[in-house]
Amino acid sequence: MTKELFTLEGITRIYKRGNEEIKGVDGLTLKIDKGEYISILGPSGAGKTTFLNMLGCIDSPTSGKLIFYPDNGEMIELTRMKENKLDEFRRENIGFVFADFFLLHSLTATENVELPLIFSSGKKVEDGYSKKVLEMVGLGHRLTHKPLQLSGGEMQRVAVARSMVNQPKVLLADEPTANLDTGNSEVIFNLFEELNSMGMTVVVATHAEELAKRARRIIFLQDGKIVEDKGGK
Amino acid sequence: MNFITLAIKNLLRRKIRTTLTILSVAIAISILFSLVAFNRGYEKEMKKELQYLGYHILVVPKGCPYEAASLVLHGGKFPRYLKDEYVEEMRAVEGVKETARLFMDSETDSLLKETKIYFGIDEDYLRFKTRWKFKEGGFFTDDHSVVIGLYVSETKKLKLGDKTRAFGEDFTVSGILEQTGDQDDGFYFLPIKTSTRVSGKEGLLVAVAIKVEDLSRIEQIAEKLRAAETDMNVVSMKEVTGAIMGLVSSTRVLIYAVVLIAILISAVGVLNTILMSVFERTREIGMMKAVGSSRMDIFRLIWYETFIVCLTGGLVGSFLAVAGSSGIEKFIKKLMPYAPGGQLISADLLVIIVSVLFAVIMGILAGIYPAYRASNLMPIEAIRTE
Ligand SMILES: Nc1ncnc2c1ncn2[C@@H]1O[C@H](COP(=O)(O)OP(=O)(O)OP(=O)(O)O)[C@@H](O)[C@H]1O
Ligand SMILES: [Mg+2]
Repeated sequence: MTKELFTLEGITRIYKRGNEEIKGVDGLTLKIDKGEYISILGPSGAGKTTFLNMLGCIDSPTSGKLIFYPDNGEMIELTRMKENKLDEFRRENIGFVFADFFLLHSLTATENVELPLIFSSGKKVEDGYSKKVLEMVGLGHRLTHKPLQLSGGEMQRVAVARSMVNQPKVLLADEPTANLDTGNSEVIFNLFEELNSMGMTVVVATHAEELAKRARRIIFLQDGKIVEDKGGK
Repeated sequence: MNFITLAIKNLLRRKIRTTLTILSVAIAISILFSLVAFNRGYEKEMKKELQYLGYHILVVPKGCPYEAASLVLHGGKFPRYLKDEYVEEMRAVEGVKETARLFMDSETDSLLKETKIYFGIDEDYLRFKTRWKFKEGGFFTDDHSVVIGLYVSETKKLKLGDKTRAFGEDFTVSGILEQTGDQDDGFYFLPIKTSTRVSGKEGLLVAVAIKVEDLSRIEQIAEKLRAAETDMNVVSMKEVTGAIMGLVSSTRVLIYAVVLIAILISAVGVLNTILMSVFERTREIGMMKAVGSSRMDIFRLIWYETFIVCLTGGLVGSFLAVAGSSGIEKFIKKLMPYAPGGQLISADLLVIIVSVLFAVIMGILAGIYPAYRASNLMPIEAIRTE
């Protein structure tokens, strides 16, 4: 079994705004191994979000090659996959968490967590699995609460639970604590650590340097390029 | 939780908006429902009415037959008559199966301000009125017998064997008809010979009713009859019903157009509402894509929402139409140039199915565009949108 999860070769994403071309990320080349815990740091506009979007395949690079290694020993070239295949890939392998929690206010915490499961060919999970995931993020006592009845930290934990319900290989978090106070931010990062210790690969983009330092590997981005990559093997 | 419950929950987020949209569909569908139900009822009643009429061709004197009929009803005298001997000529025309002499006169009581209508007939007429049943008694027993309709018997308190005066002579009730549901209920029927004599029109007729052997040849037979004598009008019932149906169908086209516009407006309303809700939920849809929903998932979700709105609207609309059918019937009857008696709105299962189906088709069509728009949202753009 390979230990690699992703290989990026010269990943570049060019945004066009009128005549102006902006490189969101510029020639990213790196490997990400299974079970890594990575923080992405860098000033605003450095390309952190763009980088995560590339990994999560909710946006595709203008050029470069992105390869994913599933457990069965194959290698999948994501940059050559059709859109509907990418949807499937995302559903099966990627968990996303955003700064905004993106919870549906009309649904309870449990229903929000179940959301990814109702989509077609969603993974079959055991009954009550979403409840278990909510318990794992420490919200066993908030199962039937609606988002507006929860605190910000709790909402983000619901969002983390939702990202986990499909049992993905990677958790991608884009400034997950941007809308949270220090205490709640701690809780979320503790959660990431816990998930990582259970084998989950975690990639977090953040401005919170102190918290970022908890990760084993830290990648600094600037102007779409990697300026420092430390702690990896 | 599944797709449908999610769609319903999404709709319930904007209760007022959803309710209003459903209501607009319901109104359009209830109009459609009433119209379809009315169409079925109307055709049924018209056919029944024509069948009851019993004759295929009516021969009347030249001149406007409607004018003559109104003269009788308001107590005037017929301006023109047919000669009795024509009947033999008509019988001789090939394809004529039955004939019956008809005479008609009226007498107005200036004190009571009421007009009694007397119909002169003979036994031949019974072969036309096969639907007639005698409640009591039977046909004429002598030349001073009278057969009366049920309405006459009830309002004039006339029983079997009672005498009634007409044109200065006494007639004995020999039979009372069961209810027929048409004008016959209000008529007095006299033996034609006596009737023409007391009216001073011996040897004359108001009309001759004709049945033909083969209905498909009715027009040729009518032509031959026209050729036989020049001072008579040969009216085939096909022409009459054709004329009425023609009038009706032009009215109907108008009503259909109104219904179609109503449906179109409500369909556009549904489309607009759903599209609006898609735009409002741009970020949410982006999130769903990020957590693994495919284009098709989003398409389905939005489509279901439209579908549920329209289906509910269809059911509510059908219910409203059934509940308000008597009011709607009155309204439509006013619009129609000719409306037969009886219940015109016939709301059977088929009508319900047609209406709900229409709503469903409307939902399917109105949902396509918003669902397509939603499914085409790119996740990063959707998430970025503030
Ligand atoms: N849709 C877009 N159109 C045009 N330019 C874009 C678009 N998205 C990102 N960019 C540009 O690409 C660069 C990288 O953006 P990105 O969002 O990845 O930065 P970031 O590191 O996540 O910043 P922040 O910390 O503020 O979230 C920026 O210069 C940004 O302006
Ligand atoms: Mg960002």
